[in-house]
Amino acid sequence: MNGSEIRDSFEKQWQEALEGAELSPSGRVWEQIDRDLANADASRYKRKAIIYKYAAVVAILVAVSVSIPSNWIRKGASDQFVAQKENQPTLVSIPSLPNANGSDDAGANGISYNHIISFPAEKDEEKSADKRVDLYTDQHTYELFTSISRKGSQGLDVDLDQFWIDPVPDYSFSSVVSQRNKYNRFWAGVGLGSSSFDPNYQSNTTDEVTSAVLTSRPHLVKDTKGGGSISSVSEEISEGVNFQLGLNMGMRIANRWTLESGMQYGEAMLTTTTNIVVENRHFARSVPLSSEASNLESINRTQEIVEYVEDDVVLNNTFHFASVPVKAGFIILDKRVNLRINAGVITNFYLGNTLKDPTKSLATIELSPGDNSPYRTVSFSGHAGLSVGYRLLKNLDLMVEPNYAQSIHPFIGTSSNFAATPSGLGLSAGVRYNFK
Amino acid sequence: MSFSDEELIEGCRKHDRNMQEKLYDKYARSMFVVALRYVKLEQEAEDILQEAFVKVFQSIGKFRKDSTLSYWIKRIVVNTALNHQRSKLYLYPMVDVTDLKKKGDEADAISSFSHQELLRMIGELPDGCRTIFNLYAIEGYKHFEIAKLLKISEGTSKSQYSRAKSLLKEKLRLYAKIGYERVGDQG
Repeated sequence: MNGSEIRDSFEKQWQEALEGAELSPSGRVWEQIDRDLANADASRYKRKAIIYKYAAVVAILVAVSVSIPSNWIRKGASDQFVAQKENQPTLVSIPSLPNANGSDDAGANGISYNHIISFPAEKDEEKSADKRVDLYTDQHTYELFTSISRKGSQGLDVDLDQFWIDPVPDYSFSSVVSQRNKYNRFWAGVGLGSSSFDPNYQSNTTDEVTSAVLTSRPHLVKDTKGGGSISSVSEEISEGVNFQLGLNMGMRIANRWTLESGMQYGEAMLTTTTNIVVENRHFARSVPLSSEASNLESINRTQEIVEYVEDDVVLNNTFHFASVPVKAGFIILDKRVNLRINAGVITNFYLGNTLKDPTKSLATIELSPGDNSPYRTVSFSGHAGLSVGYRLLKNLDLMVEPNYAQSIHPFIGTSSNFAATPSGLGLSAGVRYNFK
Repeated sequence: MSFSDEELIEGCRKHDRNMQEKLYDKYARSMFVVALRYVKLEQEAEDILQEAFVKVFQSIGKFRKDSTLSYWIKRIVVNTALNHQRSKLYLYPMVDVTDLKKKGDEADAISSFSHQELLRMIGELPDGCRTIFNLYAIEGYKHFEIAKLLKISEGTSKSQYSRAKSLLKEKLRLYAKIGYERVGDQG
């Protein structure tokens, strides 16, 4: 009898006998799986935060590597311009120019003279510069000239080496000269952002936390099943991800300086771990106990005995903020691709946070701003970033900004027994409309 | 409310903890039996079950519908059990055999035993025999596949299986005898 025949008898009997067999494992298996999955979820958030960190760092490096060479190019071009100015047009700003026929009536017949070009060419020679030239004045830059002609001595009471733009009616002049966006004074935009959010959580010593959370509450007693001795409270808030959505508006306050503000809504998703769970017959579910929730009225007010058990729990801790940033910007590059360094202060309005058990087996704790909250309603953070813009349409820019924010004002109230100074590297993106 | 496998898979792919728990509830009992076949102690089987289901939830995105969900989970449980066993798998030195000959034709009334009794008999086998018996007789692996899986020779797999089979037949007879004696005592 060969192997397959054996499988047909003895083995088949075993297979059939055990087919459909079911036995219930103990409840601890799912509890452990649940815990492992919650930890994995927390790790996933951490990994995301790390990815955002690296993305922001890469973006900053790319932006810096683009901006430095472009500055060199600009500087090089400037040096070259100086070197070649004998042959190149340079701008001389003249508030009032005579028109072509030599009169002083600059505005007559709808004719305007905006600029005059110094062009030390040979006398009496007609010259033209039919090309794109960047001309800088105090308030405007024009980049397109169709015709710059030398008029020599014809009717101009100026040196022969001076040339001016051919007088054209205002409307036609506008059609010839295009004004670039950087001279649009105001803009408004919408943006989305994401960043790592490291609370830099610093707890007091385990004994101090234990004292603050447990010892000071005589009504909290350890579940008799867990033994009589008081527990040590151990807790932590770990790094997560912050998402923002907002409106912004800005204005150019000088040739290279900008001022920007706006309004943002943000959610920071962190992870809180604690090892104490409170059970009370008034609560529909057990409640995780942490320093954050130490001011919970519902626990403080009760005079009856409340039992707690030691149980490591991982909670999703979601903070809600409204923020008002005020940022000053310095324009490094203002071409189709533009670069701006921003720095400023963000006023953060804490709107509350939620401690939620992903397994839904514990009650959700919602903390609101106010006297009972461990967090200050208003706090401030410093902000620095490098804004990179790209002209999509005539008045529409696509903006990306790697940035870094650091808390500069206590986020935690003085009565709390832990500290947190949030910081994070982030990347925001959006569009901005430039008003004429 | 019961969910189809497709709905459970979709929910688990979204990391929906409720759906993960429902999938666990649906398959945990049958998979616990699979895990129990590979170990002596229930505690060990629970550890295997826990590890296997975490793997299931973490890799459910890779599940392709070329097999049933039940079969896919079972493979993960078996592989997890084998990983647990590998570290302590000791195969008694035996003479390799090249072919298995049937030594008897006992009509073993396996179906007359309860699941728990059968699992106890399997659990009492030496680790190596138990693993190979499970793979060959229950999971349906061939000896060359078992040899590859456990990095042993095909002959070793056959000889270990032969020993497992012999031990099990002995246990079947013993358990049957105890059972009859108990029935007799009660009568």
